[in-house]
Amino acid sequence: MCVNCGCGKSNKGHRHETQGRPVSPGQFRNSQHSHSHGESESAETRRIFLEMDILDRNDRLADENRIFFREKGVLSLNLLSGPGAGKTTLIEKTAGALAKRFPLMVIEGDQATSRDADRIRQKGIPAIQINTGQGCHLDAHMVGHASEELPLVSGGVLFIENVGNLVCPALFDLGESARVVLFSVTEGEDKPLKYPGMFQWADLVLLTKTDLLPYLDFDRDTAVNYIQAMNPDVTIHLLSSKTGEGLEGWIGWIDERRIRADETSARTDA
Amino acid sequence: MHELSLVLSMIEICEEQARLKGFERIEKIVIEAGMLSGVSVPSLRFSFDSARKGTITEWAVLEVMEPPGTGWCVSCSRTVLLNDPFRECPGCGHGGITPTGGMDFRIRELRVR
Repeated sequence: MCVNCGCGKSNKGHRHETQGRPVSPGQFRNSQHSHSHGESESAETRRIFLEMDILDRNDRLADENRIFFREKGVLSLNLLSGPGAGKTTLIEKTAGALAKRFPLMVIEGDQATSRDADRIRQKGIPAIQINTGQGCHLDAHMVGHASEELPLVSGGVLFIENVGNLVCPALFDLGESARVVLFSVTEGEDKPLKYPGMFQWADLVLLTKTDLLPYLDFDRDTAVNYIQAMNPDVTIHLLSSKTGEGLEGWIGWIDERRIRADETSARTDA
Repeated sequence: MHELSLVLSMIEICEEQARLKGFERIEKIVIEAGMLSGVSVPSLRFSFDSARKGTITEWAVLEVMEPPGTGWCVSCSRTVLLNDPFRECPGCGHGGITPTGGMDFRIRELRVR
């Protein structure tokens, strides 16, 4: 019997622990448990042993998105934060710094209105707005359709601005190349402890609005310690979109990711 | 309340299974929501009660198993319980524990007629 799940199969042939650190919740789920289970029948009631991941459909669509973005040669970044941490403003400022160097594209997720997509388009960047209605997060299906409507240009960067919410979007893999979590200094140092799911799968955490630090009791070192307690390997940058201070760290990180994405797509082509 | 979209996915899987395996009624759904899965079980039950009507799951009992979170501690070289999301080993205090279990959210079993 498999001691982990209690099914009738032997332990051999299916894994429960990942090799190395999974990089997304979807990858974690997919790396687990791939054996199928049979059915057992009684006179009236049948038992069907499924062992099926409930997010399986989202994860499969996310993998399709990932392949699509890789084929198009686009670096896709999932931008996550609570409402008002400065995701749209950061995209606007980043567009100012990068748009002359390579193509940028944006998918905006909000419950309602196209205000964010309108703001981005005013900067001359193609943007698609997704309104989730009652939904509190983007999913891979929405992003797949939105990305078909965008001119995805090889060598470019696609920003996917998720719905402002520190809880729900964490579970949903969109097929992004990396997850960027914004955490503004007005939110309090302990947000990573209170919302661990969001921070533990981040590839990069940006501490934003640092121009406000002189007016706040926010302790930077404590915040960094809390982020690292949730996610020891994560990269952390501090910046202010308003003054531009620290933007170069973020831009440098994007550059490095673009080079890595190029190498990956070159390897895939070969 | 991402639990609502999780419940809708769960119902979708149940409806698909009913088509594939030819049953008309589900008496019980056994799901696993690990302590580190990011799923709130009370929200899940609340969402299920709203979403089940008119679907194949309408009369089903929802049984939720909540296995504990586990992680691998490099310095102890063993698997430790990790129900606190703060990633410190409860044994030695070492940080940087890699979560290894209790993160799954899956349908384990359907009892059907």
